[in-house]
Amino acid sequence: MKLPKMVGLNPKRKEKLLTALIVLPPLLSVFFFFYCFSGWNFFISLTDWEGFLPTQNLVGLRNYASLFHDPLFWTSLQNNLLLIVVFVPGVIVIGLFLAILLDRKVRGEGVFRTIYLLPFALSFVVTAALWAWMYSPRVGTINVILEKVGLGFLRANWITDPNIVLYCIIAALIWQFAGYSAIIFLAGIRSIPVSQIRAAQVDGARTFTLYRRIVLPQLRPSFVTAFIIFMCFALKAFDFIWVLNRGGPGYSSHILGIAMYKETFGFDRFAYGASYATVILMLSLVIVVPFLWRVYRKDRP
Amino acid sequence: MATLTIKGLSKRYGKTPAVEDFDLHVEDKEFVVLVGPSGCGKTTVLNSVAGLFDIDEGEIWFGDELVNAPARKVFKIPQKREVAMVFQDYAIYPHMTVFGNIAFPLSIRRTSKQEIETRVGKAARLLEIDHLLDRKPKALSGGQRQRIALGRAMVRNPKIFLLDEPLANLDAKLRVHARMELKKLQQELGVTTIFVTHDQVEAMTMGDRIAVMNNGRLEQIGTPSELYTEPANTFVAKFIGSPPMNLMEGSLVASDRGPRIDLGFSPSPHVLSPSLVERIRGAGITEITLGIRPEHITIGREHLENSVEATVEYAELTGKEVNVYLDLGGEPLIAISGSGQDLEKDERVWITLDSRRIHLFDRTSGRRIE
Amino acid sequence: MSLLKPNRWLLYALLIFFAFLALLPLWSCVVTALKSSKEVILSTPVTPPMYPTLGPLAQALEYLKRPLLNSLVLVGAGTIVSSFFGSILGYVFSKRKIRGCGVGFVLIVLCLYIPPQVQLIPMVRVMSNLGLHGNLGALVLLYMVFGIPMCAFIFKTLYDEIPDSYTNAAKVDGAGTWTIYRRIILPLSVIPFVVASLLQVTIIWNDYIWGLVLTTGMDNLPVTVAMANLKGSFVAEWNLQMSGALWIAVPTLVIFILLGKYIIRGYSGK
Repeated sequence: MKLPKMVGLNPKRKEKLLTALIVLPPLLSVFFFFYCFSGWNFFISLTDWEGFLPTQNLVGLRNYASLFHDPLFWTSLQNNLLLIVVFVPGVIVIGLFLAILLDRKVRGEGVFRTIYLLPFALSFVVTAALWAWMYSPRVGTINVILEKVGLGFLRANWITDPNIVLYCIIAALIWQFAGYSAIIFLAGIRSIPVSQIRAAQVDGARTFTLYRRIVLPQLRPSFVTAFIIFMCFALKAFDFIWVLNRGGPGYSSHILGIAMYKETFGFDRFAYGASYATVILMLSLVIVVPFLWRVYRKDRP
Repeated sequence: MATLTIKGLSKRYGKTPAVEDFDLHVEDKEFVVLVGPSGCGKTTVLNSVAGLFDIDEGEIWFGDELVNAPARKVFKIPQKREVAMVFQDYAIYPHMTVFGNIAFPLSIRRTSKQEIETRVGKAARLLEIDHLLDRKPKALSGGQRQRIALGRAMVRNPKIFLLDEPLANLDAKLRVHARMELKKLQQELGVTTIFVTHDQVEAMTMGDRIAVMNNGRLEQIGTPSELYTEPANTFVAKFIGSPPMNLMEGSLVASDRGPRIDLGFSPSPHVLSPSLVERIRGAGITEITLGIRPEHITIGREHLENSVEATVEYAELTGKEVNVYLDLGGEPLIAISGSGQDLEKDERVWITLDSRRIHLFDRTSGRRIE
Repeated sequence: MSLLKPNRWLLYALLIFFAFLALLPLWSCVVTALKSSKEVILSTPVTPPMYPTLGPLAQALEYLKRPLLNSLVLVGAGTIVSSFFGSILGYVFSKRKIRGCGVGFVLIVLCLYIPPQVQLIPMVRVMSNLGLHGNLGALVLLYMVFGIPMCAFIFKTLYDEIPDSYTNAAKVDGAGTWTIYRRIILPLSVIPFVVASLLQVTIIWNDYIWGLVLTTGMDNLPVTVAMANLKGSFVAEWNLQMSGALWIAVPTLVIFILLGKYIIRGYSGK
C-alpha cells in the first residue's frame, strides 16, 4: 500500500508563498491607508493636538463636547442636512426621469446618454469655475439670459447671496450628477426581463401604468444604490464648494467637509479637525454598513 | 492498472449533505455511469475524485495509492492526480486556438514542441477535428467543442477519465450519435471512465455498470440488465426504464381462498401466484408496493382469468408502439401495446399482469423483497 | 409600443431640453475661452466669439504647463499600478475560495465609502515622515494605493463572469493558481483593464483635495490645484479661467465621448 510521501506539498508551499507575496502588499497597504488611518484619526481626535505643539495629550471626548457647543458645527451640519434633503432626492428623481425618457426607444439614445453624462466627466474644480461664471451676478450666463428673455426680475445674486447660495450649489451638483444617476436607473430598468413588459402590455397596461406598477417596484436596488452613493457624496463633499467660494459668503455654505478642512489646515487645530472627520465617518458608516451587510450576507463562505 | 476505489465518501456543504457514505469500485478500463436526478450528488462525487475540493469523510484510492483521506490528512491536489475531466460546458478557452486548447495540459508541463505536435495531432485525428486546429473556438458548434474537450482530456494519457454530463448540451439527434462515438472511443483508448448523467437512457446504453444515486446516497450499482430486471428499491425501479415502471401499493390480506394481495381495487385479483405470496410472508411484511413494467401488461378486450377491468385514459402513439394511459379503479397505469391495437378514450379493457415479471417491494423501506 | 405623434414630439422636446441644460455651461465655457478680454465684456456669455482668439488658451497653457505634466505622471503611475493590483486581488477574490475571502472583499468595497476627511491628517503625517510631503511623490504613492479598492471591485465583478469550469478544467489539467492567472485569466482581462483604467484616469485626473493638501510649489501641483489657484488670482479674467478649465476638462470629455460605453459599464456595474 503506497501512501503519498509529501507529494504536492512543496510545490504547494511555493505557490502559497508566491500568493502571499503578491497579494499581501496591496491588501495591507489598502488596509493601512483606510482602516488604520480611520482609527488613527479617531485617536488624534482624542488628543489636544493643535498648531505645532510638541505635546499631544489624551483628553478623551473633549473635542466632541466642543463640537457639540460649536455654532459652526451646527451651521455646517444643518447645511449638510439641507444638502442631503434637497440634493439626494433631487438627483434621484431627475436621474430616474431621464432614464425613463431614454428607455423609450429614442433615436440617438446613445448620443443623448453621452451628453447627459458629460458633466460627470468634469473635475469639481472645472464645475466650480463653470458655475462661478454661470452664477456671476453682473456678467454671469444665468442673469444675462434672464435679462435677455425678459425675465429680468428673476435675477439674483446667486452664490453671493447667503440665503440662496446653498440652493445654487445643490443645483450645480444635480447638474453634475444627473447623468450618472440616469445611468444607474437605466441599467436597472433594462435589467427587467422584457417578457414581463410584454406580458403587461398584452394585459392592457399603458405606458404610465407600466412604469408605475411593473418597472418602479423592481427598481428598488437601483434606488438603494443611488441613495447610498449620493448620500455618501453629500457627507464628504468638499472640492466643489471650496473652490467655488470657500464655503461663503461667510459661513453660509459651510458643510462638514469644509469645516473640517478649515479647522485642520486653516487654524491648525488638528485634533478638533479630526473629530469633525470622525463625525463624517460615523454618519457615512451608518448609511453604508447596513447596505453592505445585507448585500454580502448571502456570500458568506 | 488504473482502478478507482471510493470508500465511505461524505461531503457536506454547511449543514446539507451532498453525498453520504458513498462506496464505489471501478475496474481498470471500465466505463461506469453515475446517474440520478439533479441534486443527487453525482457531480459532487466526480469533483471529489478530481480533487477540486477535500471530502469530509471517506477515502479515495487510485489503484493502491491513497489520494484523499481526511482522517489521515491526505489530500493530493488536482494538478497532480493525473485524471482528466470534461465539463458540462466544455470549458474551451476562447482566446486560444483549438490546437492551443488541446495542447494546454502539455504546454504547462514544458513538453517539447515536437511532442506536443505529435500528441495533439494524434488526438485531433482520432476525433476528426484535425482540420479545425487553427481555428478559434468561437465559431465552432457544440459537437465540435465537445470533441475539443475530449481531445484535451485524452492528450495526457490520464489514468482516469471523468465526464460531467458531456452530452447534455448537444441537440437530441447529435446526442444519440455522440453516445456511440464516445463509448467506442473509450473502448479504443482503454481508459477507466466515470460518466455522469441525469439521463437514464444514456446510462443504460453506455455503461458497463451503472451507479444510481439519489439524495447523496448510492441506491444501487450493477449492470444495465441487473438494474432493469432486478431493481433494488422503488427509486431505482421508477428511475430506470421509460415509460417508468408502474408502482401500486397493496397489502397482504387473509381471505377465504387463503392469503391474498389486496391492491385496493376490486375485484381483488388473485393475479399473484402463491409463490409471490410466500415471498412476502417470508419477508415478514404485510404492506407492499407492487411493480410491473408497462411492457409486461397485456391489454385485451375480453375478461380473462386474473385480468382486471380498466379504462383507457389516453393513447400516445410513439411510432412503433402505443403508450396507453389507463385508469385502474382510480390508480393511473401505463402500459405499452403494439400499434396494431386501436384503443379509444374511455374504452373499457381488460388488463393482465405477467406474473413472472412482478416486482415486490417493502412499502415502508422501498427495498426489494426477494 | 406605438405612441401618438404628439407624445413622441414631447419626448424629444424634453430630451433636447435636458441636453441643452447639460451643455449650456460647457458651451458658455468654450465660447468665453475663445474671446479676447474686451469681447468678453462686450458680449453675452453665450454668444459665439466674433473674433475668436487662442490667446487665453495659450496663456492658460503657459501657466498650466508643468501641472499638466504632473497630472499625466500621476495618472500614468496611479492607473498602471492600481489596475495591476486590482486584477490580482480581483482574481483571488473571485476564483480562489480561501476562508475569509468574503469578509476581505466586503472590507475592500467598504473602502470606497470611507470619506477622505479621516485620512487627511494621518496622511500628512505619514508623508512628512517619509519626506514626501509637498512633493509629487506623495501623490504618486497615494493614487497607486487608493485606486486598488475600486479596481479590485471591477475586476472581481468581471472575473465572476468567467465560468468556474474554466479554472477547474485548468486545475485538473495541472495548472497552478498563477499559471491559471497568466494563461487563462489575464488574456481574458482586456475589458476589465480598459474599464478600470478609464475610471482611474478620470478619477485621478479630476482629483483636487489630495493635491491641495499634499503638494506645494508650482512645480509639484497637479493641474486641478493649479487651476483653482488660477481662479483665485485672476478673478475677473473669465476667458483665462475658462481656458484653464478647458485644459482640464477636454481630456476627460474626450474619454467620455469616445469610450463612454466602458465608463458606463464600470459605473453601472456598481
